Amino acid sequence: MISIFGSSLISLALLLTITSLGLNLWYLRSKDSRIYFAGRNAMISACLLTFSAGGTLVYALYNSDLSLTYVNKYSSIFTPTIYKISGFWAGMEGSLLFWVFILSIYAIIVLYQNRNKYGSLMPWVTIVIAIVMSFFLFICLAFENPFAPVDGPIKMGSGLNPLLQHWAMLLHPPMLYLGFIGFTIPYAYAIAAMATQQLDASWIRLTRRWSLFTWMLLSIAVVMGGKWAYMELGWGGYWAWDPVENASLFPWLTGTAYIHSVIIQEKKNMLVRWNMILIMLTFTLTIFGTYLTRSGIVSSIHAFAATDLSIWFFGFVMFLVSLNIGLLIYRHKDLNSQNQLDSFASREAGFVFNNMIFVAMMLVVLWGTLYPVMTEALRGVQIRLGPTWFNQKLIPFGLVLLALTGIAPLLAWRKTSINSIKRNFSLPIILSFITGIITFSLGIRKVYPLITIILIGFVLSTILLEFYRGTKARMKSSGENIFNAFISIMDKNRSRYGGYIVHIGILMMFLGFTGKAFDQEADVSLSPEKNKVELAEYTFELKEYWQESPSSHPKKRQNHNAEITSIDIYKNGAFYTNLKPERRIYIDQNSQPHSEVALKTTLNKDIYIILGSLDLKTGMATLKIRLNNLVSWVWLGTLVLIFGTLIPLLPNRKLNE
Amino acid sequence: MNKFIYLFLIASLFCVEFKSQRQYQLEQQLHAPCCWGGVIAEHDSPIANGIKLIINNIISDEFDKNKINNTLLQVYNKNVLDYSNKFIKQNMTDEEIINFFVGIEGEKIRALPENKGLGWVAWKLPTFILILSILMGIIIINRFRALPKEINQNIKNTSFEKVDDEMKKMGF
Repeated sequence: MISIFGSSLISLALLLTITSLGLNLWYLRSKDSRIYFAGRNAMISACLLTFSAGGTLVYALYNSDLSLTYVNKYSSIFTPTIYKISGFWAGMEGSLLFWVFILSIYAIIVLYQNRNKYGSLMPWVTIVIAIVMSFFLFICLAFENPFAPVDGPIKMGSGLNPLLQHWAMLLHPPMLYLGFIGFTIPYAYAIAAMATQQLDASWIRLTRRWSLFTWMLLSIAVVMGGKWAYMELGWGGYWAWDPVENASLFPWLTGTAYIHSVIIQEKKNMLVRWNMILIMLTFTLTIFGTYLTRSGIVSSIHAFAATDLSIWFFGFVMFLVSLNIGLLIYRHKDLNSQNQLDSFASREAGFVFNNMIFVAMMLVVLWGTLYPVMTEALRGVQIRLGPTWFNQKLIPFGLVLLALTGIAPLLAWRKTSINSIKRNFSLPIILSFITGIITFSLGIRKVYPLITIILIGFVLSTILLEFYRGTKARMKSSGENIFNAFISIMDKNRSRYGGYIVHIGILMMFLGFTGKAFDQEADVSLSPEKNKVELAEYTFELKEYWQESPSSHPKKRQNHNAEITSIDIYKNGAFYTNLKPERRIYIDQNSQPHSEVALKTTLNKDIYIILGSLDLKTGMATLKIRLNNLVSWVWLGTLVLIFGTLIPLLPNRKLNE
Repeated sequence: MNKFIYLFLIASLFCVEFKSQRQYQLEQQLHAPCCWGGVIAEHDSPIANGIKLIINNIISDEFDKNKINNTLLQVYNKNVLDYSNKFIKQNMTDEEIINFFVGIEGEKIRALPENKGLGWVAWKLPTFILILSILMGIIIINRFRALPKEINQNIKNTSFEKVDDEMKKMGF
């Protein structure tokens, strides 16, 4: 019953989306507003039906309706409720419905927000959204229907992959999808602007909040994926340059370039063509990333199982590429910029170089990710490039970007005089030089970490200098006290100062990245007879070991047995903390074992322990112990980045008034 | 006891120090043959742990060929002793160690490409892209510098104003 109901919802949604597409196209010919309204209402109805289909799948998962194949594959009667819900995006079929589910929410917001505005743009916006929705609904219905009924006798369900049973997996996929799909909206407006020849900065202003919000969600998603890998994959790192990780990075890199370069178009009406290319590229890369993770063209532990979808996604990517190139050629003359750039020593030039480096980084990541496809085509064997290659090749790009983050704000718009350069750069250069000496004297000799810390010193001093100058000028002009003046400058130029706060977050993350160069790892054995081991300033002592099961702990161990060790940790001889790494055996996942990391985290160091094995008879435990440096700064930097992005997103009182 | 847990146990019994930088770097240069989904440094699969142990034995100060051969037999089901006797020696370079595993598992195990053929392209292309991007930046800026000054400084929502008029006419 639920199978027929769910499939019908998807079918009707597809039918109405295509109807909306047809009506909007008809409206463009007829200019009869009744047809536009009909097309809009058809779109809203399609969105509501898609939303209902998503709700129906959640209902089936929540109630463990095992008559559906999807529920059987990604849930079981033992699965904890919260992970039953997250089963929505755990598998191919559900995640595709989840994609279109989120798009339908976005579409309703856009259609509602602009119900009485932008009459010439909205039909085109609706057409683009309808094309994307139709594609995903068609895939859901024809190939990956999450409402397909069980073929054969109903079982108790296979359960959710243990790796996905982590709080970060409750947030990472929705954030990623919100970020990926969110770029559909600025892309739709860009296409509408192209189609209607309204190519000034209006469409960019209209989508500025969407772009920023989407970029923020994608940033959170990328970091959240790292947090999940850090806690669940148990190898002690948070980024492995896996193809699926890289797929989330492609649109993030071009999206970051885009949110920088639109500032130039808004302020100077320059880079019109470039901004169009960037948003087209960003959206196309979200679809390409989806294709990469679902086609099986490159192997990844994170990818969905390979399916027949490859050709469809490839076709859709090719359609988008052709559409984008076609429009760029067709509107070639209209995309010319209308202002002059005076000098290389200008903020505009800084932004141009920033953009070039971001896009170059994306190309390098793309090359590294697709390298196995090249080797397979040319040599018959897939050779994947490991993290060492990515780190070696991308660190210089990252350092150039870091330097530009500090240089660009010190340059004036249009042209910077030599005197101004001397005045603005002297103090930051001196401060970064002092940072370098302190870092070197602390014993840090590795080249990249040293350069990174020097650049962090440089950029941080430029940002603080900007805040200082702004506040001082405000105090002088308005007579406000330091606190009020600081709030005033933030309020008056949210994008600028919010951006600076985002940059502080990025600096914190870069500091976290440098810690990776100093990580240490050891494999150790502890037993009741030999229960202590010393590593650096720490002593690790095995105190206890035991087992817990669903019968002994029905609430905590719903779907697994756990072997647990209790490790006391002493720092320089004094008790420091206790950690309890555990190894789980999931009963609904064919007794699949999974190690749960135990972590003591501080600002400068994480103690990270993984239980490799535990012999309950002898008490012999094998452990991997890692001392990871500065990892917390990556997570804290992300919080600062979110805070900074929220500042320009806050409602503007003056605009509202 | 599972032979790989045994291997892990043996490794951890002897290891009460942090991994050397060399060991760690070598582990970053080989893909885990269990699933080819990451380098062995990131994996705790039996085969990944086995290879880690072999590397540890090869680069150890107390080089013992018999010990290495025993470990190889535990890790690989096939007989690789002839091959091992031919290649394994004291003071092997990183390249020789990598090539030793390439001989057993094939080219797919390499996580860093060789500096020849397509591998050479893999190494050089990013530098080329970096230079090209900087050149592109220079070209773009030069083109903007060549434009006439300030054709249009009045950047307003002009097109949307037209659109709103249009909507009024349409009765929205």
